[in-house]
Amino acid sequence: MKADRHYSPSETALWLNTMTASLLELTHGEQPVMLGVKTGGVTVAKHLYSAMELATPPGELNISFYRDDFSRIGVHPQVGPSHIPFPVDEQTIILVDDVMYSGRTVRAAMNEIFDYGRPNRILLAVLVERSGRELPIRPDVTGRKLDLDANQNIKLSEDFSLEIKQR
Amino acid sequence: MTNHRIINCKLSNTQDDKATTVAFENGVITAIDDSVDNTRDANTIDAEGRHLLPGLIDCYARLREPGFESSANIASESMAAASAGFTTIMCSPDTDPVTDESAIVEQIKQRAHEANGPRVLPIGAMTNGLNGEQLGELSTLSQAGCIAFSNADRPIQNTQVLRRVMEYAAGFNLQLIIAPQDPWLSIGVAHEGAVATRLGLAGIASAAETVALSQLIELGYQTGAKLHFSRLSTARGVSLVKQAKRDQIQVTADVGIHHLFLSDIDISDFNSNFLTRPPFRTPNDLQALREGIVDGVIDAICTNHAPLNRDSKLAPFSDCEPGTSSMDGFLPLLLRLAAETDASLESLIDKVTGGPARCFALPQGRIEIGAPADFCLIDTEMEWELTEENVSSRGKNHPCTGWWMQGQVVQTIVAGRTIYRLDQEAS
Amino acid sequence: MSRPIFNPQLTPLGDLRHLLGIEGLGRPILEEILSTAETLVDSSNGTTRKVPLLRGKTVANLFFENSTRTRTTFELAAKRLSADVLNINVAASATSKGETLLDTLRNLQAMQCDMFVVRHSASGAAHFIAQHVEPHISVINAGDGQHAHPTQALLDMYAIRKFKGDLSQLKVVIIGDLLHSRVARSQIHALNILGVGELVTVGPKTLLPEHFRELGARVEHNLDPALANADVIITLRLQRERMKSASLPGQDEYFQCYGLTQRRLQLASPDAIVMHPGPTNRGVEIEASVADGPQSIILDQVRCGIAVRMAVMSITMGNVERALHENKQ
Repeated sequence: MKADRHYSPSETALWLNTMTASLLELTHGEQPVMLGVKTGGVTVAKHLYSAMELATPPGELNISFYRDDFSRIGVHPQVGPSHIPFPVDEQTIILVDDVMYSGRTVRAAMNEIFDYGRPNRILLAVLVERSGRELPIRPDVTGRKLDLDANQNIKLSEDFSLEIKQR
Repeated sequence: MTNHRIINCKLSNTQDDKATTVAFENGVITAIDDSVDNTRDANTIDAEGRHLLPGLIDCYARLREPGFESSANIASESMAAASAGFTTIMCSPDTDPVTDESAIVEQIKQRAHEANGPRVLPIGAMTNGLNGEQLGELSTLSQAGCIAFSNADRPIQNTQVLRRVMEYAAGFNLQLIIAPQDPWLSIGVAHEGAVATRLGLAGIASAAETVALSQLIELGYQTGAKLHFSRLSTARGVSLVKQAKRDQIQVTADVGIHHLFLSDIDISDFNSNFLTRPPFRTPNDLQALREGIVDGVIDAICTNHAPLNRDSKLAPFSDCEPGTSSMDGFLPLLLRLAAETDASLESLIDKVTGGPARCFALPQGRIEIGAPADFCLIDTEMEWELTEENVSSRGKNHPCTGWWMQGQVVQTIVAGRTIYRLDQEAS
Repeated sequence: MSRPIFNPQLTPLGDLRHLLGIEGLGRPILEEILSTAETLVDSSNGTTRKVPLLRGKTVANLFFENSTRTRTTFELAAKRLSADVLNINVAASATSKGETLLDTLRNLQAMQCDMFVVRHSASGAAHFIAQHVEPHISVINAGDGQHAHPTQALLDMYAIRKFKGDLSQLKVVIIGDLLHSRVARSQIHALNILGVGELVTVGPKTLLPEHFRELGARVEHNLDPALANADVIITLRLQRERMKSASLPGQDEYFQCYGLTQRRLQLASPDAIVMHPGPTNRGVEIEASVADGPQSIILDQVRCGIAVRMAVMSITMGNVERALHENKQ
């Protein structure tokens, strides 16, 4: 069994710095826009947006209506509507989430983005990539890879401290 | 003919619990003896200390034949009635064709004879085809065997017609059974009150009954007709009948058994088994009806039995046929009423025996030497659940489905002949 | 005699399975529907986007009573959730007797429908249908007789919250033929469940019986004083067949006594909003200039309708799916 852990904001700040650097390099010469997946991804996106000094504030995606587990858990969209304050057509979009696990959330988010238009390309940036992918989706930029047990949960706080706990 | 005896029975009209022997011969009671008798032979029924009641008399039931055999027929409902302790049933004229000619009366009597169950006394139609316009052949029908006359649940709109029917009946000293329902105010499906308002159901105001009653009482006073008000439902209605009786107007009244237990609150989830006519009214009305029973304003309790096939109740509430199946469980409800009110069991039994017998001048309804040997032997302790499966009526539209009942009819005897025995049923 | 109380709208866990009426639903359920609806509205332009949530599901619009408007919003809502929609107009052909109704249901179930949206002229029809459908089917009441029209009431609540905020501070006045109005009944329940500050109903005594008190509304027959300090004014449609009947002398006198005019609107709070479930009879229950005026949110109501119906469909169908899934496990 893998141990529970706590990462302090100063530790995660290092991961975010790595991500910022990689993203700047990958989007060199472009004017990318950013979309955070509610709610953890939005927190991360806001940080990356200011660190990268992007022109447009990040949009917010609520993927509740795009989930593929509707038939197992029903619909619980308690996090407010999606808000995409820019056209997505022809854009380079940085899609941001706090944790990537199975890849299903990313799939849902990409489906939603395509309902708004056709971006030129999408880059995926996640703070934590944990083992357990179920879809052929990989992040372009990762803050930290973590190998966790299935019953462990990752919780990102507003102050960027990260808690890993048994469910 | 042989002499039959029922030994070890308790009669409801004896003060003590002494075991009594009742003897009958040729369908007539010949002796009532409270000295202990333990001799048994083939013609002895051992009541084993149970209550022996006069056979029950139902003064308003629908047997659905002729015309509505898809819901029930005389044979099926005769058996249901026998198992509920009834030995006499007065059946309503709203058959198809309507009971407005001798041939129909003959047909009903013939079918009842074949059914070999309780005595079936047809009620004739007050107006031809129950159309409310043309006076029925009351005298002819009376000679053919109609015990009384009614327009069933189709109120006569024209008061002049109503008056003429009353006058004509009074001339032949015939009994009328009238459901007090104002033809216009009765259009609806539920008691007009908080529940109907909440459910958005068309309401029938209490005034539908009281307006009709006031009119009927005054016409009765004017014409001298013998009026029996069928199936009261409101507190104000009970008061009006009470006043009419005080005024020496020749009126009697009954109430349907379920109106003494159910109110409009019961329809809250649109259960169509609670759709009936007149509608179940408020708990206050229910209380007033019970008081009317206790203080004698109401002379009789009827079943208001309305067996209906499944399809008749398989629709949204207001699209269903009104009526409840109410033969089954009748006696346990009566016992429950005795427990829940100040009325003695004996006085309640009278509402389904002596009471209707006096209203309609029937020789039945009493255990006395010379009276017909109609009996109902009951077990007052036996507990059972009323389920759709054990409803003996063909109409499964019983609103008390799922209720626990205490008390059971063990044996029913008409004119000395056993028409129902509980153990036979079980085997 | 008391029987166990059970709410046919809820799963054993208390989740919304059918939406038959507002009565008996808890405040959290209503709040969930309203917040889900908010989530479905694109905040940038106020419209609802198409989402793939109900892809592969079939919604049958079962209309035993004609109503193009309501049917259209349900159809749009279902399509924006990516469901397939079957419009069945039974009004023309059916005899509306039980046999036909049940037969229709059985046929539709055989066609693998997942949801019935039902409009019927008999009160309790949606309850009846809900009692007879297979466990994988949700029933949404789109108006049954004079009993309930829950989605209309919910969209009205959505609109009130959007324009006026916290209901506990509001005085709401409902004017008109409440007796025959399923919309008004559902509104009264919804307003009370959501904790409205003050609720007054106004109409002629023939169309507003005293029993409405027991539903939780003040009952008044004189409009002018009732309008004082009103924040929300809801006028109900006066059905044509009531305009000249024993219940009303005619539309002129009705307008004189209960019509919402500019003059009367002055009696309410200056920022009061005017609502109407539509379609309006101008010059009967509402003056044209009020219906089209700045305080009217009648068209906004229609817009809210799609999001609220999408929310109801997502939640009920999600709960049914989840219950089936948990049963399987």
